[in-house]
Amino acid sequence: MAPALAALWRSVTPADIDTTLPDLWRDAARDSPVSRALMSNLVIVRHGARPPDDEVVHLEAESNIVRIAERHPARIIVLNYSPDAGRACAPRQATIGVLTFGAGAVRYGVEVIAVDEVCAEASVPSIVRRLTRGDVPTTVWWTADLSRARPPDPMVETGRQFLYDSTGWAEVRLGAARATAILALPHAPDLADLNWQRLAPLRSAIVHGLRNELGAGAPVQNGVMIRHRAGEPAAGWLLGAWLRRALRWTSFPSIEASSNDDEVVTVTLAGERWEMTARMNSQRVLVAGTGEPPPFSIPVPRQTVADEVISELRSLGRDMHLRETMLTLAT
Amino acid sequence: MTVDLDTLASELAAGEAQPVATEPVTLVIFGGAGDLAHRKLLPALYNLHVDGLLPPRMAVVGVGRKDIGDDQYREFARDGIQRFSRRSLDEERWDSFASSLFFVNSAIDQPGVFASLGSRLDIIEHERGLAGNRIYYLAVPPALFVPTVQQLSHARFVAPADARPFSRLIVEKPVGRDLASARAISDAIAAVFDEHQIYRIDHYLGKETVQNILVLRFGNSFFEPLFNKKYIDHVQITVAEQEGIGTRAGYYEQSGALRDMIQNHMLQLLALVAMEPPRSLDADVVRDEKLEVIQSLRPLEGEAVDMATVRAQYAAGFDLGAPVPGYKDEPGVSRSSRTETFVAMQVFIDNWRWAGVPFFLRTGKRLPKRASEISIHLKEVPPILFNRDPHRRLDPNVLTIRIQPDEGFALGISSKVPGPRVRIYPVNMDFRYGSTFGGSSPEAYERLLLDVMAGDATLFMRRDSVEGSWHWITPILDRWAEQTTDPLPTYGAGDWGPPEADRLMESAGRSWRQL
Repeated sequence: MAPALAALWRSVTPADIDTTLPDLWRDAARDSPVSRALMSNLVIVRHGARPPDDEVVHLEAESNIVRIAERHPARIIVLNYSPDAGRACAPRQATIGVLTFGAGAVRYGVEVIAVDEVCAEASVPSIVRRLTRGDVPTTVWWTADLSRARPPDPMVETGRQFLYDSTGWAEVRLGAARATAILALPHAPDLADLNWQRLAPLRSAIVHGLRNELGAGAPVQNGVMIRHRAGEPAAGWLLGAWLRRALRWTSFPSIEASSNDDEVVTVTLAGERWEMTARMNSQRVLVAGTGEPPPFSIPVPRQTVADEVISELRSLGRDMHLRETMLTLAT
Repeated sequence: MTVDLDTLASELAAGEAQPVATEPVTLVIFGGAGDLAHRKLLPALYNLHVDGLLPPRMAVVGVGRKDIGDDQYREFARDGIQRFSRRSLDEERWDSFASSLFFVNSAIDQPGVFASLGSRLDIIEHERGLAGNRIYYLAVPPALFVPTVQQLSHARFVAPADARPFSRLIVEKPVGRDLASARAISDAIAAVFDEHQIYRIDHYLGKETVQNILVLRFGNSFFEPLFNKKYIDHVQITVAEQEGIGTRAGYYEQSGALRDMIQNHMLQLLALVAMEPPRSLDADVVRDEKLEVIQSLRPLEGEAVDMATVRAQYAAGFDLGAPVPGYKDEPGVSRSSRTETFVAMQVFIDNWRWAGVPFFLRTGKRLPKRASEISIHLKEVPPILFNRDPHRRLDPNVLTIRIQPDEGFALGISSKVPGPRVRIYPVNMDFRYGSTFGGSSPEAYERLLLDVMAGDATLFMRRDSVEGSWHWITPILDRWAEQTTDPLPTYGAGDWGPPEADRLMESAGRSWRQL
């Protein structure tokens, strides 16, 4: 872990970003050498957000950005995107920064670029294409609810990976439909869902339980019940689609909200003569059957959002299970 | 034993840092008050002066239609240096540089004007102790190349080849619009200047990274063995311009991207990447090898042009979020214009080394950013071990030579991500001129002007190379000229070209690299 963080910031017009960044690097290297670290581009889209009054204060307070920059050095581009079909405008201002970490021979720096209000959908791709570096992978992180707001296709297509979080989706099926529409684009990126990643311990526990210990044949029709925490229906629906696809059912299992806020999601599978329940909370997944053997549990990793994002950034490649789950959910 | 003066000078000079070009010279810039002189030539000369690389005795004489005197010309130069030089202006250095600047008001296409020009040059050379070595720089529209050269001849301004004092000629591109016109211009120039006196400038060849291509290939043992059909899957060369045509509609309407970029810059880059190792670094030896590549290009004629090329014109779009007009809405452009502002093409070099390896060229205006690079894509590793998962294919290794901006090169390799699982991530081994050598690299024109003064033609195009390029390009132009009714594809300003360019790549089983 790098011990120190230093940051240099400058406010510029968008046209001066490229010419001013080298000045910042020179300033950053004035007292001791600094290596420019660049593993990827991370485009963070703040949809519907007006730019903060003081972007520098906001960016420094945004611990996710700093943590990501430190552990997966990416050129971080923050777009404050407020689409307004009624007016086309170019961004007037940008904030650029160099964050440096470490010391001595391992001192390294990362670029951050925050572009103020981008209001015309059509103008977004030209900004993203200009600011991203082509020789490293690009991830577009859509921080808004995908079921409420759709990202412009050309912006999505600039990325190799489209990152989102389905946890708070207001309309799960609509969100899934939009995610799968992205997969149909001519230059479709890979999907990465932070919620899907969080559910990985539960999926893994269910597979283990069925395969090794607690299951005795496939669940019967209507033998699957999923309860999700109130306000987080996507967790239930993702697991429902995952199971439906695997069981080749033509309909979804029973999915309902639970009044038990301790458990994120609970999945009960029942066969002819067996039943297995997997309960996931923020600490562990507990799996218990109706008889022998005794319950088992597996831990849920304690991760920040930054940890989860870094994990996705480093996992380039097509997640076929997520892809097919989304397709199932969207149908 | 007495020592003669030359020997004494040589003895004393040994071990001393000397300017590369030492012979006194007068640089006569036709078009001396034009845009090229303002933005490029005068700032380049100033930087050479600051670096102590110019000959100790020198004069720069601008020639043009502007009704200005020496003092105003010096102000013009000062403004250009302040706005466009890589260095800020230093008053002390400026004073000594400014004293070598002169201007002669002369309409070069009018008969008799060279007599007064000659008188002025004689006076300047006499006053500054110059021996009569002259370099004539044609920074004028191509239509004035031949009249200017003929005037030089009639006024007896041109010394024979190998004579002292010497006469040299610098010609800016474009030389011609097609093979026939290029030959006509070259014939007219050759009637006055010997080939060894002619320096055809392609400023791309003066860029540090371009010069470094030969060092990279032939100064390292681990690149050159890979540069062949056995290891290389394909090569992409992209010259992307963010700007539109600005005020250059008059020129661009007659030119287009194929003539403006591919015929010269990009074919020269292609030649440097693909050429065989020259037996020496002598100018003609290097240029012979480049010519071999140009002559080995598989001809594109008739329907083959349609299959292997895409041309397009930019429509209205966005530049970093700001709306910008389409090509046909630019001032001075015809509404019915069919001039291409974008070209993509697939090219093959039919020689032993490169047989079957596609080279993809792409250039255009109003693309998302200004960026020029050559990327050499190696073949994939076999689909076993770390590359066996069809959904997590490893990125093939790519050697990228960045010409501008951020000059340098990068080698893309696969590396394990730290942790208990085997996860592979593409990473770059990156070399940047700016951070490695510090400071700012010399501008291309600095190197090229210095080379002309020193008589080194390595980085300049020879007549046979120019005509070889036109020989290959002209059938493409002819095919396009036949297609007067087919709709020309368009792309929005700020896009990476039209969908047809993507389809060209997809049909070859590849995709354009993002810049």
